[in-house]
Amino acid sequence: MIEIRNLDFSYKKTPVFSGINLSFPEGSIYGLLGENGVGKTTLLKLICGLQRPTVGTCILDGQTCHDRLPSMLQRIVFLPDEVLLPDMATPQRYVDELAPFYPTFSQGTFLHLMQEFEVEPDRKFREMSFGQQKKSLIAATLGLGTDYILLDEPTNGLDIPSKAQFRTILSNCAGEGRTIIISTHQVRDVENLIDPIVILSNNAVLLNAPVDRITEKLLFEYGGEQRPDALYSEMQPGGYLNVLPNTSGEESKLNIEALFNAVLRNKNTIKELFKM
Amino acid sequence: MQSTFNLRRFGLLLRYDLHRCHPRYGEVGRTIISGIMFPTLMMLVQLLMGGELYEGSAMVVYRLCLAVGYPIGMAAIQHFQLYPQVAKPGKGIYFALLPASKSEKYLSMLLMTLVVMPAITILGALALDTLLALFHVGPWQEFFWQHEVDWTINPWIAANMAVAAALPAVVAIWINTIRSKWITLLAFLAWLLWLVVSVASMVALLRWHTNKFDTLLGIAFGIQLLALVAAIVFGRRRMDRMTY
Repeated sequence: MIEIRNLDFSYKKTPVFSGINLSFPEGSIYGLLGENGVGKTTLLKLICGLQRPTVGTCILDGQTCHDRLPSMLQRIVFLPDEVLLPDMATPQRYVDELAPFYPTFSQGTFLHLMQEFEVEPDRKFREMSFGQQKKSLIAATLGLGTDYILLDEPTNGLDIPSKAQFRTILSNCAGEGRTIIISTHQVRDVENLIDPIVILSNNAVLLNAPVDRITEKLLFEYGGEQRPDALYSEMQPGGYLNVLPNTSGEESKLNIEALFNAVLRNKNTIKELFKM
Repeated sequence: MQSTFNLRRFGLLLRYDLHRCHPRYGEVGRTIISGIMFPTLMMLVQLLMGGELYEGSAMVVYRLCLAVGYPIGMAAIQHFQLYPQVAKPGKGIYFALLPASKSEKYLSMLLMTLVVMPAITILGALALDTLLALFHVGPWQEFFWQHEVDWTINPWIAANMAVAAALPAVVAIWINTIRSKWITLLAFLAWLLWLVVSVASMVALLRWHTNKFDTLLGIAFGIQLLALVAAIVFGRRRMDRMTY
């Protein structure tokens, strides 16, 4: 479990987080959403120990994250947004060098993922397209078999079929009891994948709730007229999509983009609704 | 699992670092190129000191400096070639997140920079020296072991050489953890100046084989040793605080 308690963080004089509290119990795929610059990537870096909190703690299964102890590092992997090619020439050589450090590494899983992504494991990184490099790194990351997987914009650069493959692969990974945190703007790529959803804003956590609680508290009304009492309305083919407080207990299908906009525009209402 | 130091894990880390430098064929190329440039530098020094280009003792001086001065120059540079990611926030995450302790990573860097890479460099340069002697190229008319010279050396000179060989490389490791271009540039210029002065001094001391400078050498040894220890300690402390 990842626990963040009273965490403050700033880059020199720019505050990013102020007294935030979050926890990520095991076995779920968390969606980490937020506007540009709110600190999604920073939060991922704090969790894997690449950054040190100014105040407060970030603990992973009882270990302080920024100590970066080997026992913690063996259980967590971070795939950044930018494609940073490792020193080794090919994906297979890269995982061959990493494998001894990760007892949970599975060559079979790695090769299976490379096959799914249709990328040759012995092909040189420099001969691959951006998307192929990204897929190779995703396969290597998931093949390490760590308990915690942090992905920053994992679908950037992937073509449409690859995004579908990514969703399938990730669903299978989560089923094995792992904790996966995905930071993304491309919510449509992961819409049916992420649960719970965490939305960050400047210095605060606006929402941290599972999908069933969200749809319990909020109603997503499709195809109707624009409602004046809606938290958020959006014109779509066939009518308006309205996001309203769910006073009737009706079930509805979550629209993450609409949720995001509703949360950003009604911070206090959301806070009250979800008692945060 | 031991959190600070585990021998097996440290061995894996050394192997990992060795494999990282293996595909870098540039290291072999750089060894050859600097192997050619080094005698040119030594000949200039010899000329400045008024010696003859093909004088026997000049070749001894050159060859001894090859064993010390050459790795001095290359070890620090090779550290930045092998570990550019230590100081870079982007690619540095691979280094930071590799499951090994900070002590193991630092010790591995020290070993690679101070022992492994210099050993490879010296072997490469000596191989070139032997090849040149095999084909009697220019002043290389005999193999280095064929020189009839007194190989005993002032112990203070030897001690200074040992510390002098290690100091720039360790300082390079420390500099690599500082993400300031101006400090890095300043340190590089200071190191370059020190390199020129120390190599020239060792050449002069070896040439004259005198015990007149024992006290001075002893003091120089002490200062360099202090600087070496400080650089190692500061470098380790910097690694603890590095963020990416």
